[in-house]
Amino acid sequence: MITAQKIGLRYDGGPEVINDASFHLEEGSFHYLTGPSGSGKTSLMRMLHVGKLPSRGVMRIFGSDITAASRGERAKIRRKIGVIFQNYRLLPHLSVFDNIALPLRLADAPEPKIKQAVTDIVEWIGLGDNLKSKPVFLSGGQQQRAAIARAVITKPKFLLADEPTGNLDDAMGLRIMALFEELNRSGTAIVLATHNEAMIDRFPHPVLKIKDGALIST
Amino acid sequence: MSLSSSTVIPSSTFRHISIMVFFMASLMGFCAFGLISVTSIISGWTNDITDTITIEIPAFDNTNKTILSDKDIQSQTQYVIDLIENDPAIINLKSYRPDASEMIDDRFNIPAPVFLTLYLHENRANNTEQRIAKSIKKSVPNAIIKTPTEWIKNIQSTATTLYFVFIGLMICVLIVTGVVVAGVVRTQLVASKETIQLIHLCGASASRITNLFQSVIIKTVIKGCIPSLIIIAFIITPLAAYLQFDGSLLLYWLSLPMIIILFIVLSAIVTLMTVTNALRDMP
Repeated sequence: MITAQKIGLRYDGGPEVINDASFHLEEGSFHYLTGPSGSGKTSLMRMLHVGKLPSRGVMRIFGSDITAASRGERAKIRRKIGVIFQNYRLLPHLSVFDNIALPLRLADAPEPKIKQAVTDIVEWIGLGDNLKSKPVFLSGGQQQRAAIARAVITKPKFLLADEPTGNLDDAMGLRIMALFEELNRSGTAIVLATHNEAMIDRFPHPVLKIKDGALIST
Repeated sequence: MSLSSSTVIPSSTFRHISIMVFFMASLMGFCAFGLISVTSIISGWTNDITDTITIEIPAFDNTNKTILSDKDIQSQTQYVIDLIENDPAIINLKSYRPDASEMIDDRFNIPAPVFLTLYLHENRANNTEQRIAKSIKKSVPNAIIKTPTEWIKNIQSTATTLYFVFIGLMICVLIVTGVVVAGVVRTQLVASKETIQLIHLCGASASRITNLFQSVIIKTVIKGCIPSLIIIAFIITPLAAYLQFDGSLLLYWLSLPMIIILFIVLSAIVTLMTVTNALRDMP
């Protein structure tokens, strides 16, 4: 589903922050992405959600070479990818409902379907009482859950999560991991960036380790 | 429901654009009225004099030294009339002689001149005026013959200058509008950078993001244009009645919707260029 061959990434002609990374992610796979701060995790994730293009090498996502693909094709690829950002990136002027519904609205889904999907996910994730609230009135954990709901509401083919349980208590962290496992079982490939060794032990999956921009093991 | 513009752009953002468009559309409306007024007035003036020749039989001979008698003036006038009255290029001939009391030079006891106005066929040969003038001058050398060619040239040159002034003003209005729209859109792109990046990552294409901006801008432009054109209509209607405008007023009313369309197209293009340029860095 995703193949990278000796990809490199540099910002504005600076040094390479990712160098010669090669990997293959199967459909329905689950990987952790670990590495120290500044090792290139975020840069690799940016390429995985087509927020950045590799400076060199070939990266294929859903069969398309993302460097050669048109902007329209890349937009279509991104629609199949769910992303949970470490800093949530909720839109402050929209309600929780509208934030979560955003990817469905971008896909021009009918409003009843959007309503049903948002209601289902927020009940499950425990945000049912906060649908009309603006993100600023939510706690860090609630914002993280809203960001998770937004990323998974389209049942993406590929989910990227950057420290998705970092601000959650243990019980909610386990629920979220259970949600990811369930999504994974239904065919969604997942790459989850984390420092949480306990979680890796509890939900064992292959680990992509990155250090100084190089992928050192899987 | 698809993604609405308010997701990206707060509704109040472009309110001041409406006010700017209101003034700019008003200026455009008045410029268009000016343009059509000049056309109408000039065509009225030229139509009145284009097909005429004026001949003056003065009270002096061709040396300007000898004062002619009233009888001489009458006989010269009759001679000219006899000479040209059967000319096929002439439709009508009118003569006019002011009363002696109307003449400035009455105190010197100079006879009043005679003025003949010749009305020519619209479809005449090109050199008709010159031919008639030449034949009159040959027989009555002191006759003063005036064709409207020079007048018309002067009027048309003034009209051309006025056209350029109005068209220049209209172009300036459009340029200013375009620059302001581009500036506001660029500012909003910076202010909404996080939002745009997010919806881009969620799968919105560049054209989708551009459309979101365009729809807000177009609504804003319409909101500014319509009241402005209503106010213009209220001002122009009595003004046109006072100026006794003819059919050209219809052309003016038809030009008003064109102003709205022009502003919409301009704003849409400027927005497209600005947003596309800003999204260049996003893959």
